[in-house]
Amino acid sequence: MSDLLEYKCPCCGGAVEFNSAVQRMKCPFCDTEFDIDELKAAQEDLGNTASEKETEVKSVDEATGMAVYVCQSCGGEIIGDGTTAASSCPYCGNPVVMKGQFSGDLRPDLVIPFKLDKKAAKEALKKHIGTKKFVPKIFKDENHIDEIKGVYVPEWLFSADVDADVVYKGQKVREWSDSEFDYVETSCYDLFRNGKFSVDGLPVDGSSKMDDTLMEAVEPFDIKDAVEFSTAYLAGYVADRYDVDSEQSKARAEERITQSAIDTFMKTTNGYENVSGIEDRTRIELKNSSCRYALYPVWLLNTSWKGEKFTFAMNGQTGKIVGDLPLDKNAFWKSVGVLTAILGSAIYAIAWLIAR
Amino acid sequence: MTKKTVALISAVLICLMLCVPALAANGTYVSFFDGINIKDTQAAELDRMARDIRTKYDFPAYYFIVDDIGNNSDIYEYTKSIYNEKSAGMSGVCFVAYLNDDVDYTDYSSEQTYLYVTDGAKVLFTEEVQQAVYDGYDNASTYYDSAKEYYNSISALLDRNSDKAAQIVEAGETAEIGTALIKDKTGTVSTVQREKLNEKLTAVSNECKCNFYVAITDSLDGMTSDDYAAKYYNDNKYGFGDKKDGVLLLICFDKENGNSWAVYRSEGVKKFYSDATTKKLMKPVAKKLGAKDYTGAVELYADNFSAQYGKHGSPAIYWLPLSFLIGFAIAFIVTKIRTGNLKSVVAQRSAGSYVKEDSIVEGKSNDVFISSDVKRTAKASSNSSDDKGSSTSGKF
Repeated sequence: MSDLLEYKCPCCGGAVEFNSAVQRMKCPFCDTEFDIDELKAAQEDLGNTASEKETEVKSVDEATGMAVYVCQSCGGEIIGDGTTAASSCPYCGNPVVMKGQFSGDLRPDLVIPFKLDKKAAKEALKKHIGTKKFVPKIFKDENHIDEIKGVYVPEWLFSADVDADVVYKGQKVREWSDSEFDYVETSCYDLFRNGKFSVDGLPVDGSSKMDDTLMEAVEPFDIKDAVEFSTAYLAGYVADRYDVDSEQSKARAEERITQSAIDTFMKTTNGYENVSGIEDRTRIELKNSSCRYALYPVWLLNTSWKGEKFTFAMNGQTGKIVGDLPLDKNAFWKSVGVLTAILGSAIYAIAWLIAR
Repeated sequence: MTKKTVALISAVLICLMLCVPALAANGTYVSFFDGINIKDTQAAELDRMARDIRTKYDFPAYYFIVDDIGNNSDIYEYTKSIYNEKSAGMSGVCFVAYLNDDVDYTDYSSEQTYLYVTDGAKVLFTEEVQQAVYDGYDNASTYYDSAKEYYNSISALLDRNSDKAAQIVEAGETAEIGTALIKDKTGTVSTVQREKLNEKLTAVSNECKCNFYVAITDSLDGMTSDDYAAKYYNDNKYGFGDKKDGVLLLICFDKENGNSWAVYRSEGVKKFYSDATTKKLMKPVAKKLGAKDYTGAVELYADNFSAQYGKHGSPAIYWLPLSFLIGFAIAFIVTKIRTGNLKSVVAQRSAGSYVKEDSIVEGKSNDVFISSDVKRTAKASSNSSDDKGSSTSGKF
C-alpha cells in the first residue's frame, strides 16, 4: 500500500515545497521558511499528522503497474506508474510524495537538492535555443518552455579503488638523409603500464525512463553537495525510483573506469608518438567497491516538432544544459550558397592573378 | 680606232687600276682608307686570314686603318662602336689605327692606335699579349706587314690555347640587348646568315625589352634538352636586366638520339609562355626545322615569340567551375562545422571527473619493441639553385 505525503505549512496550512534558492522548505503562500528538521519537529509538536495523511491507493492496474492516488487536498485523482515517487495533483497543483516508493531497500542513500530554480532553468533554455544560428525560428517560439519540470533522477553511484594494467601502442620515428635519399624509420612498440587510482561517486542512470546518454551529457555532478535523503526535498518536484538495479548499471561504470585508466596513464608514455590505448588488452580490478543509491536533480523539457521528439535537460546543480536542436535546412543551404559564391569568386580571382 | 680613243681608254684603265687597290682595301674584317698603299691582293689575303680565324674559332678579329672616326669623341669610342656594330657583341678583338692629317705616315709612333678586347677575350689577350700587338704594329715596316703579323699572332695564340678559345666563344658578354643572340657550334648557318639573324633577334629583343636567344649545338652532354637549355641559359648568364628576362631556343642535331629543340623561358617571362603556348608557337618553327629551313625557323621563332610577349594569360576555362566547386566543398564543410553545436547530447567517454587526483599511483612500466619500417625517398635534383625558369622541348 502506498502513501501520499503532503507537507503542510504550520502557519497557514498551505502546501510547502523545497525552495532551491534558499535551500530550505518554503511556503509559497506565506513565504515562511523552514529547515526540513524544523518542519518535522513543528509537525510533531502540533501532534498533527494531517501533513502525513495516509491515503489508500484508489486502484492499481496489475498489467501496466499504473496506480491511481487520491489527492488529499482536493480529492482529485493522481495517476502514476510503478516507479513514480513524487508528483503533483493535476487539479490543484498540490505537490505529493509517494512515500512507499522510498521505503526499506528502496530508500535512497543520498540526494543532491536542486540549486537552480525554474526561472534559471527557463532562462538557460532560452539561451541554449536562442543563440543557435541554424535552429528554425518557429521552433524557438513553440517549445512550451513553461512546461519545464524539475525531476529527481535515480542514480547509482560507484566508488572503488582501481588497479589497472593498461596497454598502449606507440611509435618512434627517426629521420636521416644521405646524398641521394631521405630516410624515415618508424618503430612500433607495445607499452605496458600499471597503476592505481580511486573513483568516487561515478553516477550511472538507474531509470529506464531517462535516456542514459542525456543523463551523462549533463554531468558532472558534485557529490560534495549531496545530503542524507529526506522526502521533503522532493516536494514540488517530480521523482522516480530506480527500475535498473546496480548490477545492471555496473557494466557501464566499468567501461568508463577502463577508459579513465587509459587516459590517466597516457602521460607516462612520453617519448612516443601516435600513442593509443588498446582497450581490449586493458584490465582493471576494482577493490573496496561500493554502490550508493542517490537522486540527482535535473530540469527537463520534452517537446516535439515536425513529428520528432526533442528533450532538453539542465543539471539542477551546475546549470549545464544539453539538448539536440533541429536543423533549419533552408538556412543551412542558404548559408552554403552564400559562402560558395564568396569563396568561388575569391578562388577564381586568385587563379586569375596567378595567371597574370 | 683613233689614237685619242686608245689614249682615253688607257687612261681610264690606269685610273681604275689605281682605284682598285683603294676599293679592294676594304673587306669584311679589314679596312684601309684610301691614303694607305696596300694592294688588293694583300687586303684580300688579310681578310681571308681573318675569316679563317672566325670560321675555326668563331672569333672575330678586325683590323682598321682609318683617317676619320666620325662623330665619336675619340679612338676608343670609335673602336668599341665599330666592333659592336660588326660583331654584334661577340667575343673578339678589334685593332684601329687612326691616322689624321697631323700624322706623319712614316712615323708610326705618332699615330693613335687602340686594341679593343672584349671581356670574354681577355682570358687570352692579357696585358702582355695586347702590348705585343702594339709593339708589332710599331715595329712593322708596312701596314700590310703589321696587319699580317697581327693575324698570325692571333691565329697562333688561339691555336696554342684552343680550350681557352672555346671558353671565349662560350662566354657571353654582359647581357644587354644587342649582344650576340645566336650562337652556332655546328656551322649550320653561315656567318652571313648568322649576322642577319642576329640583327633580327636584336631588333625584336629591343622592341620587347627581352632577349631572344638561339643556340645550335650537336650534343646535349648526356642531359635532356630541357636541362641543357636551362643550364646553357644560366651558365651564359643570359637575360636582360636584373630579372634576366629572356627566351632561349636550343636546336640540337644529335645523330644518335634524333634532332630536338627546347625553349627555355626565364622566370620573369614564363607567365607569357606556358607549356601549351610554347608548343603552339613552336609547331610551325619545328616544321621549318624539319624541312631544314633553319634560317626561316629562327626568323619565325623570333616573330612568334616576340608577338606573344606581353600577352597576359588568363586562367584556363576549367578554373571557373573548379573555383566554385572548391568553394562549395569548403562552404559545406564550414557550415557543417557551424551546425555542430546543435548536437550537445553526448555520452561521457570516461570517469575523469570522478577520479580522485591525489589517488593516482604509477606502477611498473615496460616497453616492448614490435616492428620497424624504413621508407626512403629520392632527393630531387636541381641544376641550378637560382633557376626558376621553365623549359619545353620537342623533336623535329
